[in-house]
Amino acid sequence: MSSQAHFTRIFRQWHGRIGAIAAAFFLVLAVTGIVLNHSDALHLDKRQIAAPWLISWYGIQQKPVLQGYRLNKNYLAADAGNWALGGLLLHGEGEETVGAVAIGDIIYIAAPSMVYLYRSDGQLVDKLEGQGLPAAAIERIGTANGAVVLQTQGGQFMSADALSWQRLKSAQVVWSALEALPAADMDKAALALAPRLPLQRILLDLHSGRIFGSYGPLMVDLLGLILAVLCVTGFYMWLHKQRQRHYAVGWVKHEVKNTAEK
Amino acid sequence: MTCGMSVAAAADNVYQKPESFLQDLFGHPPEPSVLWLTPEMQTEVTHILGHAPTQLRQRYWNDGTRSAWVLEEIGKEDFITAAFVVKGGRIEQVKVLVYRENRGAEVRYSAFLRQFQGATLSADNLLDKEIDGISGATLSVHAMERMARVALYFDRMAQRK
Repeated sequence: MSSQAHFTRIFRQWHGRIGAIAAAFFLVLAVTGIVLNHSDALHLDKRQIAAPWLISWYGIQQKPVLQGYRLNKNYLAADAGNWALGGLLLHGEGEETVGAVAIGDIIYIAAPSMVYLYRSDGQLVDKLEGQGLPAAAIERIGTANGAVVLQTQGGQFMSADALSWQRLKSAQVVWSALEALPAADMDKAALALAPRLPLQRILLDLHSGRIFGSYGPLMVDLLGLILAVLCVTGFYMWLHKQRQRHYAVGWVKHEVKNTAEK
Repeated sequence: MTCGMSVAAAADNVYQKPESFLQDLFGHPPEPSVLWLTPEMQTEVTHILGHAPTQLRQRYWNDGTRSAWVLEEIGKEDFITAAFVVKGGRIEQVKVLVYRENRGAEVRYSAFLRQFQGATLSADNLLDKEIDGISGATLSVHAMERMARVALYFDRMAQRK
């Protein structure tokens, strides 16, 4: 066996072995790459994943939700600017919550610079801020005579429709205050407020290797190198085979010619 | 689409605060009026936007001759806040108040916004004028068009109240 044939044989063996081992990783890279290429069409940034093992893998821990604001039939629990109304997740804009009250079917949730109005089915009715509020920096929210009352740094104001506000003169205000959640509501709130990650981020991390920590990207770099080596060895083997075929065909032609001349 | 006046975060490009826009427009802004979105209106707005309206109550300002609507809609990932002034069923003025996207802020330029002036709604709630796009700002242009259609539709509904 010539040394070239020997090398080719070794190339073929290692090409096959490395390819078989790395195939699963290449498949993951290929699939995640294709999917990420269409992330807008697939709305990957909107799809949220709440699988506990995955959230735990990212090192995110959910704080226990122990308290909430008692509304008509439900409790409203707050966490990181979002709320759980019973089992419904309501999205805020990240501000801390200063209180929540319910008047009829409308739930008023107050943050220092905003008041959110929700229906009890979780549908957002309106968001009040800036000019929609009587004064800045809401400190407390409550009810008085069927109207919503805000205590701000500029005084106390009340409104029947959350559109026009009057300065509160005298009324018995029931202020919103945190209460301990019953166990069943605690479970509902924990489920609704469970941390989530966008699918796009998970796929990006999987594609780049970051999902495996700081060494992950190096692993993906190594896979890239392996793929480059496989390309080179594959091309070399193909070239070698082509040459062999070329020589074989040439030899046969030569022999046929010699036979004919004889 | 949300239909309020959102607080701008520090990274947002705030070109004018909604309160300031209303002050410039009306001098002394009238008390806000309210348009409640009935199920039929929600269906129509959903048809215009391609998604359900996020709020059921729309505030607007009307001085008897024109109405001002401060609307929000996502361009690609973040909300664009824009004000639309409608007079006699036609858009009189458009202004981008807050732009939060990374790309496409060219929609704030008056050369683009002037195209909306005089636009009205056709029977199928489309603009009766062709709005030329901006290269690299396609999604923001589409968001502005959708908001313009919603503003005209809301104005029409408010007139019928």
